[in-house]
Amino acid sequence: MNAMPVRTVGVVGAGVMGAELAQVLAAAGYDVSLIDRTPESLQRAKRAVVNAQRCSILLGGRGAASRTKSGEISYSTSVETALANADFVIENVTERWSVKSELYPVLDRVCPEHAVLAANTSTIPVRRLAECTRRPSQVLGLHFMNPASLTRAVELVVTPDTSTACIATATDVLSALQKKWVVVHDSPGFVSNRVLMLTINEAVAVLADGVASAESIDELFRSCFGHKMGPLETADLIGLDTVLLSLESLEEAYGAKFAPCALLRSFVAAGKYGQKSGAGFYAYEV
Amino acid sequence: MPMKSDSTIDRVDEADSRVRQYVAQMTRNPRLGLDDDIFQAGVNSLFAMRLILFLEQTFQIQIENEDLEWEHFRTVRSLGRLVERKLRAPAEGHDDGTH
Repeated sequence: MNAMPVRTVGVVGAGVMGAELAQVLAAAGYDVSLIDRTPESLQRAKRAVVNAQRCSILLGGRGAASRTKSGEISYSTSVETALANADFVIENVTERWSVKSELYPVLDRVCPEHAVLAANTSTIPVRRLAECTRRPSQVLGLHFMNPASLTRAVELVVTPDTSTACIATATDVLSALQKKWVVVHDSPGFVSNRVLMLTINEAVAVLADGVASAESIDELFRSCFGHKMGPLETADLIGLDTVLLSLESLEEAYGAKFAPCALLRSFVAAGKYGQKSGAGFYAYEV
Repeated sequence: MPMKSDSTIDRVDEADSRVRQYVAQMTRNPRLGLDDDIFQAGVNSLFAMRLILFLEQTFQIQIENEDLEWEHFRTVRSLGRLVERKLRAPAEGHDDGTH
């Protein structure tokens, strides 16, 4: 089956990831509707988009921007009006089932019949989200990694119901963004986060046990394994609040081996979310 | 040469050290040298964004799109030169004839 042509992309959730995705999509020539709940969050998103555009210029136009006429980005607090013409929707709202399960029936109601719904979820099974709609064959997962403008590949999650046309539409969009993709089957945490979150959680436990400092833990992964970043600095980049939500979701699916470390909970309770808040396992100037 | 205000001289003089201090902390490399590649550990758009905002807020300058050249941002020394040029530009643009 053939891919659907995509001209307008809706991005629901204008946090760090949503704003950066909007910029990347517009740079690739798509018209983008960026949606969040409050005018304040959209104001923050506008600044984030401008800054993402500046980063894109600085980091060498590695996105698809340079050869394509940029699309327009419009901002809205209303999914009803903003998604009426969307061909493709990428959902990036908070990684919490109660939030997503309320949103998907609304997306299903307001989007055109042909529109594909792509969940940019990191742990929640895509099939559960698809079952909240009347179009399960047009729902898949696109797990973009942070920073979305620079990572080369996307984890593409398919359910037993996902149609070949839906997959073809999604891979056309990814190709336009100059992204590769790796197809995996639907499962809580998929591949990347099921493995990564366990590693991060254990690294936090090692730190809490006093076995090594944060610097030493990360240095081992960089120097011995050749990773670009260690698990704790990766957690700071992802956001410790997101890491905690992901672990809670994985614990629900797989049991106690994903139980979040108490030290991680205390960081999040203290508002230490990592790079975005200026403090996490390391200090950052904001 | 146009005259510069004392505050501008101070800020130009401290540009390298202030930038170095910031980048060393952000990259957790206390031995960071003036000519070290500050993105050698990998390119991170969040860090790049923070760096642009840091320069604008700390030195009260406006980084324009044409300033966003990779070569200006590669090392502490090149960043210091960019800051110095941006700080001197307004003084040269408003020559009051006191020289």
